[in-house]
Amino acid sequence: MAALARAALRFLSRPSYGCVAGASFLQSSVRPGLARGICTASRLFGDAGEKSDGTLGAHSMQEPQLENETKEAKHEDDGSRKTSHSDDLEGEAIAGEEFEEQTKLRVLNRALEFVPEYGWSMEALAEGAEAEGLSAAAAGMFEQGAVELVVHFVRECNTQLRKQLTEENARLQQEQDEQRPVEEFLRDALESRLRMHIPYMDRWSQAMGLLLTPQALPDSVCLLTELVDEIWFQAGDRSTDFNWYTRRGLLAAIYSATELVMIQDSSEDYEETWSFLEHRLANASLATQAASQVKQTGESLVQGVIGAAITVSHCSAPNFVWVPFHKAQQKCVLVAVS
Amino acid sequence: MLGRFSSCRLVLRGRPLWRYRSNETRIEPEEWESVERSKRRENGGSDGVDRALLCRIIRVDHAGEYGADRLYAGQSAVLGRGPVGPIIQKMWDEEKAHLQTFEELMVRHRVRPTALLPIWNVAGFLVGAGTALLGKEGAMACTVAVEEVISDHYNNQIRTLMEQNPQHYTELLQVLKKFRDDEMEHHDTGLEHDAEQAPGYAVLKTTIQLGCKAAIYLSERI
Repeated sequence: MAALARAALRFLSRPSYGCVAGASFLQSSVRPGLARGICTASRLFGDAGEKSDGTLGAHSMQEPQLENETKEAKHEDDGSRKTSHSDDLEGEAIAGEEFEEQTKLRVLNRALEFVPEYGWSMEALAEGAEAEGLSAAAAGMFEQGAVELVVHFVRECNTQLRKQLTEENARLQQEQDEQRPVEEFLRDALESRLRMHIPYMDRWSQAMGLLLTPQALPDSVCLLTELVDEIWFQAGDRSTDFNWYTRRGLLAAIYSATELVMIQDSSEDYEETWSFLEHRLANASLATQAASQVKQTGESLVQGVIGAAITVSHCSAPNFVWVPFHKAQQKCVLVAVS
Repeated sequence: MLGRFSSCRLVLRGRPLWRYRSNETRIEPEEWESVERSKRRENGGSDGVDRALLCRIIRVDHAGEYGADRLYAGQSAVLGRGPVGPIIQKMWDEEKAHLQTFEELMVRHRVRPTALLPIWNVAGFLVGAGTALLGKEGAMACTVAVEEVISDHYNNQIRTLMEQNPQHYTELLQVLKKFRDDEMEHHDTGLEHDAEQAPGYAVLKTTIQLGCKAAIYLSERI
């Protein structure tokens, strides 16, 4: 019981879990709520206490007398004690933040299993939290709710794609195979990225809607940019001029269009989607070829015009000659002769 | 209740727990330093490099060298066949080498180029050609103005990196110092070749410097 109370006090000293404990306290009557909060706290801090004994030990209830003695002993150098104390607290704050991050990740990953049933919602997060052994109210630590779940999933997909493409390129380099044509590489990369949505296809339109909400928009734009940048980089693009933007913009547009097609595709293994993707990539490559041809033609034209101007200036450089025009008055006039 | 537990230091960030209300997110001044340190650790990544700062520096320097390349191209188009042609060509070649270095750094660190590159392309060429049409002195005045702004800019960047953590940016610092010295040399060359005798030198210099500073501000962000 003393151990449980200790754990509860440590639990309550952290503001985020304090709110959660408070919420669980209020949800039901006092005694079951308090007991559930303390049980959750003891489970949460079961391993945390073992791991970071050094920092948490300073706040233990067990040794108040020892602390009083240390307080009196270090009474003189308050300044240094304060610095080391704040360093300890900072270390503990960071350890606490990391622990919170890890817990969030665990809940998010687990919540993905419940998405086909509950959709991208707080219910899925609550189910995930419970499956991880936490209270359902722990889903309250996700302030943006279902949006965080979608953003997490998209980020995980991008990470997985990055690993896949890096491994494939490393393998190609090792076997010294020829680099595949860029269009084929792009098609395969986009196909494998879109296939990651298949398990959640029924609910993907909801996810796309969530990604367009104002709170998710910065994150979703960032993630899309990272995705297309990664794909182009792995495809071998090393451009440092405006092509950087045109290529990535083009690929982002193709990806978004294909994603939309995939939502309403009912063909076998999404064949229509992949053929749509191939056609869009073919159009894009034709467009870039046409653009480069236009640029070359334009440059040739400019050079031609400059050459013509130089030729004309050389040929018709005027030579000024005095020409007599009035014999009697002996007047001459300056005339330009080419 | 507090009396029983007062001996066991229920504190958070150096303040007693009972003072810390859940809706109070105010942090005392003495706690700012530790908060800033932890934030910097967040932004620093695994090797302590501030990626946002690195991207900004490489992006704006690449834009600057690109603009300088186009500037010298414009000057060369007008004065290339004249007596200062070889001098302009020499400075142009050095700027091309700078541009290549920044392109390599850009690819290595996966930094995006500025979206305003087409504008700097045209603007740089026009400013170079325009000042060169004012004569050799005009071209040299333009060089002096631009190189002064760029040297200051490199100095500011070097100072920022030294304040952050010089060990993590050794290669970049080396590059910036060398390029800053090159730009100062161009500045001195411009002064040697009668830049101050250009028509409206003071006005020309101020205008060009204002434009350069605006370009630097925009390229860092866009």
